[in-house]
Amino acid sequence: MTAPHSQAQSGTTYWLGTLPSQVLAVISCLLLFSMMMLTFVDVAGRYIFSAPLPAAYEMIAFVMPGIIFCALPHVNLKEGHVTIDLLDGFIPESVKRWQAVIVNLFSAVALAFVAWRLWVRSRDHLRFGEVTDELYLELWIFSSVMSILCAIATIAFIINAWGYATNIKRPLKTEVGVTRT
Amino acid sequence: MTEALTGLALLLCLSFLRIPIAFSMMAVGFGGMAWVLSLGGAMANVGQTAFDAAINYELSVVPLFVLMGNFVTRARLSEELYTASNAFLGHRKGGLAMATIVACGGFSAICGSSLATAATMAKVAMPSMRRFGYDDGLAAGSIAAGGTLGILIPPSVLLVIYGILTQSSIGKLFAAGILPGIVAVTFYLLAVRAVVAVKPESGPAGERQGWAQRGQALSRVWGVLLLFAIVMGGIYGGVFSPTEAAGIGAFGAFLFALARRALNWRTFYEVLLESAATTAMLFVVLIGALLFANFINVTDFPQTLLEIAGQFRETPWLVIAAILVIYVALGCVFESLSMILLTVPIFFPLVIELGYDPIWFGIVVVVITEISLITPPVGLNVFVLRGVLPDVTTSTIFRGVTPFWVADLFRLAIIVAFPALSLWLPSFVR
Repeated sequence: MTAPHSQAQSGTTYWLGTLPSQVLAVISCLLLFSMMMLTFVDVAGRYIFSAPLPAAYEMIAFVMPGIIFCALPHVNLKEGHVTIDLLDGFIPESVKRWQAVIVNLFSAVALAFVAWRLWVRSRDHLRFGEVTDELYLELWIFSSVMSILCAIATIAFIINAWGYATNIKRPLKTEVGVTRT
Repeated sequence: MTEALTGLALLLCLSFLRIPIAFSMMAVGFGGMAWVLSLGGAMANVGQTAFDAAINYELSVVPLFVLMGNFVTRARLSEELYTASNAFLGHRKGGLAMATIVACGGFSAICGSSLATAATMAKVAMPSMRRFGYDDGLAAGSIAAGGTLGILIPPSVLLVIYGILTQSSIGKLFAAGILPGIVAVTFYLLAVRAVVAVKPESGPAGERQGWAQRGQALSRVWGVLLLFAIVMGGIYGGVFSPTEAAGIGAFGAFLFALARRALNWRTFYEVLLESAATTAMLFVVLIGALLFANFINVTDFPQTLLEIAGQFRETPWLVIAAILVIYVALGCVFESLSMILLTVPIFFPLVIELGYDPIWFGIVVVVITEISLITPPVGLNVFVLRGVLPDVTTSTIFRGVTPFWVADLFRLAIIVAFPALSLWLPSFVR
């Protein structure tokens, strides 16, 4: 994970990048904690009170995308993705800046594409009225929320690219994260 | 064949340009699919894969085990483990390094991540080894190597991902990891003995402790034992599904962290955020890997590989040996998770076709990944230690880790040669 950088932020960066990523990160944490409590209550209910939580299975499954896609803008903004940084030592400092711009733009395009495809998928879900097996939740709500969160995460990449291009953000010394498997 | 090889080459190029592996895989997977099938099919595949991968009950085991590991790390259960193993081993030559290995093994039993295990144990074990005048190389090497046990001894995030990729039973995979884990600890202990036999000054003996002290130290590790017993016992006994076990384990670890006053609002939030961020990161890689695997599967590459392997039906071990060599080479470059996600979809059908057991292959893959974690130039565990111990140079750690690396090769040979070692315990899992 990269070290925190304390550069002055422009208003746009804050409103489009930092603030949404922080708010969504809090939501992601809440969802993760509730997922833990859900499984606990479900199992405790089943074995102690012989009354399992109805549809816990489905609720847990549908909390997953929330955790993932709400944390994504935060991960993108901190550039916490797995990369091969083997060549870092050979790349001159002056090139690194533009490398960072290209990397972030590439990631932005890839993620924007995923967001778009999820949006199309959500239109299909809506058109065919698809619902979940147990709770009859409408699927299009989930796919469209996933799509929107992906789009917000895409903006995070664009903000990174912009930051590097305008020299607000500088390539950091490579450091390997502790949070990976 | 051409399409798949071009795709692989392109993927490597993009990744070396420092584009996150997840997005390289997505781009190549999508492009390749559009090339081999059709643009429309490839586009539909992206939306479908991303949606289905995220909404998946089985996968929720991942964030929960990550969360459990992070709570356990904060709860400082590592300290008791180290004190206890030190009470038994510390008085021997190289005993503190041995205690480190054993404590790492114990910590691995409640934490599914190798990097977290190494980072946590470094904070506990390094100061005490320094106090007794241990050689930095031996000290750091034993932590880096011991840390790799995190992904072998259950619970293991990597085994979960392998299980999901290959639709193997996670419970069986977890059971399969136990004996190879014990073999690993034994071999590492032998490696420490070998080091102090050659250079006695690198690992002086500590104080001998009486049985009263030993008993006392041992009685303090009940927390670790309890968590392990609940989680693993629950899975083996068929009481919980792996997701439920992970949820209970995370909850238990949360209670431990609370009881030990290791949490305030700030650290609590940090634990959650770190776990959520790791989850997001893992899933983006997973979605990328699935897209890439879908592309590989529509090419004739798997079929060609199977045909080639078919010629080796008499000597299937040659294929296994070739796969192992490829893995060790890839391990020098790739980060563990991406390596598994990238290669398992390609090699798995091959290995099964040759009549090998999927559970056994999972253990082999994880052991190889462990080796890659301490192999230069990008042994991630070594870099983690560098982060925790800034005053020890990377070359010192790699030097110190070498005996353990050699021990790992022996262990790999044994696990490959004797599948029963991995497959005996899973035969009892319901």
